[in-house]
Amino acid sequence: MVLAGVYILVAVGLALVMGTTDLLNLAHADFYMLGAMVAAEIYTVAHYGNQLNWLLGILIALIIAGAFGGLCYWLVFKPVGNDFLAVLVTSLAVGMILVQGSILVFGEKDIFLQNPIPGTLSIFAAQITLLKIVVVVLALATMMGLFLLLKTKVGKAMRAIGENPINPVAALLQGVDAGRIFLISMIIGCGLAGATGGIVIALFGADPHMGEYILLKVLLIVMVGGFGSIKGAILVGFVMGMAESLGYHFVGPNYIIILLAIVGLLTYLRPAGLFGRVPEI
Amino acid sequence: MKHKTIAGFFAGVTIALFLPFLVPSSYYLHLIIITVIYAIVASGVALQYRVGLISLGAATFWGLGAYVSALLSLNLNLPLWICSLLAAITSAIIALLLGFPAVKSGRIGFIVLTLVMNGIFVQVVGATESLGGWVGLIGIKHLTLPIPFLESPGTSAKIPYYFLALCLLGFTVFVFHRLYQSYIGRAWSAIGLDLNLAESIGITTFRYKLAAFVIAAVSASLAGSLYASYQGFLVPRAFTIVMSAYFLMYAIIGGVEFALVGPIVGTFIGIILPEVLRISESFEPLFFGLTLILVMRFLPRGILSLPRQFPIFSRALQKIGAKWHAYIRSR
Repeated sequence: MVLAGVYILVAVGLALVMGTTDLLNLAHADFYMLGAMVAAEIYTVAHYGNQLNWLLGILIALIIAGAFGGLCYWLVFKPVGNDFLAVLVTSLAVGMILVQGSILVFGEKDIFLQNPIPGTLSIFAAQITLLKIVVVVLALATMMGLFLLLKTKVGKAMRAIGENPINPVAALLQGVDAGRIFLISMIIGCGLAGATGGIVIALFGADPHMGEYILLKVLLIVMVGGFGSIKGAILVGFVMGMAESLGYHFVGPNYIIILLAIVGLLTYLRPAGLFGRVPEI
Repeated sequence: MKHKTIAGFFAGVTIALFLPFLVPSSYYLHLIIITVIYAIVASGVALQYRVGLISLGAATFWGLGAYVSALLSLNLNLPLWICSLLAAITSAIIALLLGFPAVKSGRIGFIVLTLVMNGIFVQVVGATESLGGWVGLIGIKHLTLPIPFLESPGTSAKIPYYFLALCLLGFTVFVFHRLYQSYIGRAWSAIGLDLNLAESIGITTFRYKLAAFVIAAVSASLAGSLYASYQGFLVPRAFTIVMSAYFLMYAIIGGVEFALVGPIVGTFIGIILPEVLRISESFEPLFFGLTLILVMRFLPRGILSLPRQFPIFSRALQKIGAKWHAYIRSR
């Protein structure tokens, strides 16, 4: 279930960006990684005690990842004209840069952290660590925050542009600045990914290749859920996360083959995803 | 053919023939061989790109060719060319099977399915012990051709592969060239320019797209077989999605419009240029990523579109061409 939470958070961030801009950012998972590395660094150097360190790390990860997301849009996606193919390819480049940059700045090693919230809880004869509960709570809190955001004026603008990102006539007529909204959605999406990375470090540690591990799954979640649909991302993310936990339990490490095959089938049957629409590319 | 092209061709061939003996160390020869092999795969990616299929699964068939060929070579002790051929046939069949749903799923669906294919391939190979598992397959037969007058044994072992790789690249380029000139190639161009328009004049775009997919798969598979034999060992990590992404980037940086030369130039930029510039290994992805971004921003059609950007250059070329034509005509 924890896994599902992580997937959902990252996938929702990506879906948010895709929904608003109709662009696919393949480096999204690397922002997640960036957040994790930053948070891990903060965790090890700050001295407010484990719990506060962690929260501080998450916060700073959110800010830095968001900032980098904005930079990415401003310096890379916008100059190439927000064209789907160009963004797809350059996002690959951005991903490379982020990964290598992280390796250079933080070192190639994996970072394992002390458990900030030790202790377990017994529910129905299952031992669940307090840490996992806290993680799930944090994940839910983040989602709540996101939903509140979407209700604001900015959120509504994002949804308006999302109706037709290439030519958002209605939104423009209402005075919405498409460029700024693209930027804001990029910042929010990447910030979300970064925050998720920060949350996750308590469970998995941090290493520069984290992004690669989850990119495929998150991408598939977003595609199957619907290109740009947040609802879809949540639903499919949840299913995917549960399927993975259960699948691993029953079938072993090869569960992914079955998972991928199912995803493949779904994609063939519904290329636009469950809730999404087909973008113009 | 133009005289320029013929002259250039012969010059290129001469350089290519003597190159392995001129390189300072076997490491550079290794790089060149890898570049040539990667270029073959990148050419396939470019081919697909031109028909609107953005492939993030190039490594799948490259890996398939490598593994099938390696297995045949290890277990049945067949010579390289039979292994590659069988691997290519296997790849063609699988490409046909997998390509059908992939191409049918539209542009986005295709991207997703190629990713899925690649993911499944890597996981299947990694998990199966008989395929070497995650640690890899070793001991694949290596071609040897002792060349007496070379001191370094490393270079001498690589030389046959150099020529083999070059031949394969030349063969691939030749076949692609003929294809591009043929009816199929014109259909591909039409599909690439405007899919709906192509459909409206009666081109069954699905068939041609599928054909492109399969052809690219087969050429990647041949390259993979060569790679397996050259390396002597295979690790699943070499065939991940990240690798596929690299192939796509090589194809695009060179310029997909220049279907034959583009991917080669792109691979060259990706692999040899960082070495020539002495960019340390840790900075190499940064360099390549930055180059890609700059190219996409300023030269969206690829590096090879550079001459077009400078009207002076093309005007000069036009004048030279006109004078040459006049000269030829006056004879």
